[in-house]
Amino acid sequence: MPVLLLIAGMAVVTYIPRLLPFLLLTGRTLPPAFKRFLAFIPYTALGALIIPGVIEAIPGHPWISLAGLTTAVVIAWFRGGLILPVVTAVGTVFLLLAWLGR
Amino acid sequence: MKTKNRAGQEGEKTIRLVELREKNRQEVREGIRRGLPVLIGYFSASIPFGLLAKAGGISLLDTFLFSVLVFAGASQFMALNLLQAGVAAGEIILATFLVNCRHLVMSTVLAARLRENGPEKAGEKAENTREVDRSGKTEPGRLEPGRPEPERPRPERPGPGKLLTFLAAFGVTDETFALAVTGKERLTPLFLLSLEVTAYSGWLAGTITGFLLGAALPAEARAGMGIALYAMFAAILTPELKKSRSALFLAAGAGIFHTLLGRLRLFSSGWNLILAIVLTAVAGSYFYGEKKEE
Repeated sequence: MPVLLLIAGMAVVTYIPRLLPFLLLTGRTLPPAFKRFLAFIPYTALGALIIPGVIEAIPGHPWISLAGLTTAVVIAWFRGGLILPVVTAVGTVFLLLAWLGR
Repeated sequence: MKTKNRAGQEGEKTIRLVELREKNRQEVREGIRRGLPVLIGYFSASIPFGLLAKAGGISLLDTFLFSVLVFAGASQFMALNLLQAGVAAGEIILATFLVNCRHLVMSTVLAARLRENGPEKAGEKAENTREVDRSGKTEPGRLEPGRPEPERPRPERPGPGKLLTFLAAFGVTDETFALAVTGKERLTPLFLLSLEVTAYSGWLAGTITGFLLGAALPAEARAGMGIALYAMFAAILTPELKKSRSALFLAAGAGIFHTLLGRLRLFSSGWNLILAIVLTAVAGSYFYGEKKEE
């Protein structure tokens, strides 16, 4: 069962980085400068997760990927929420791909 | 609220328990509500995983176990690719580790937030323990080597809270992290865990659906799902951009830096992401920190 071994190994090495900070940070007071740094992480993480990966979200169709992303941003800006932007973006991409396919 | 009329300590205790239970229930409800978009996003993102795993000749059970035990999208897709290319298991595991080191950063932020809020069972107590903890730190010499730990009131959560933290750590992903840190002022383990379980169920359901039914989907639908998680990241980020300009600079800066690192090809893609996130945040805290003091 080599696949099962692989899965077990991957499970261990994915859990360690997730757990370690929880173990290390309990019972410590964090310096304010470090806290400020941590407060910025969500924004930088989201930025780095979206750019540049989104370009290849739909392989071979960077413009359709960008159209999907733009749809999500516009809906989120004016209507808020998460489900509506996601569903609309997926729908837009689906329609564009179907239209392109003809 | 009928119980409130009953006097005596017994009554008070039950009131507190009832209130606590109600509060916990609310945390769970909020977590599930917050997690619903990820459930949808993960469901559509894991369908291709199930499909590809089946195409790669992996059994349904193994495919399911991948999602159950690893629960890391990018790594799971990568593992399928590498397996197909005939790469040894040890190398795949090492690559997985490198890709997932970014969770160190995310878990640190989450752990710090949970820590800030103290034990979820009593807000006032948290303040006390923190003070005790600080005084303990300034005079470490006073600790006797024989019994240093149990004597000091520890800020750690009691048994069930600790277990929640261990479970919540497993569910940390890019998406659950992003939702947890932007959604709520007060982060609690129960809220985080409920959010994660919701996302997790979507991931598992999509994996099985993809394995069993994925081939029946039209090609456009399969391709269209690639955008789902990016759309979600964008939808999480957009309200933050509306709120503050610094969020825009930080996100754009990290994105540009990440692109540059990708072009330079100095490090692996896992490291590129970590460096972009961490170094942009360092630059940001330097820049905005200076500004504040002026």
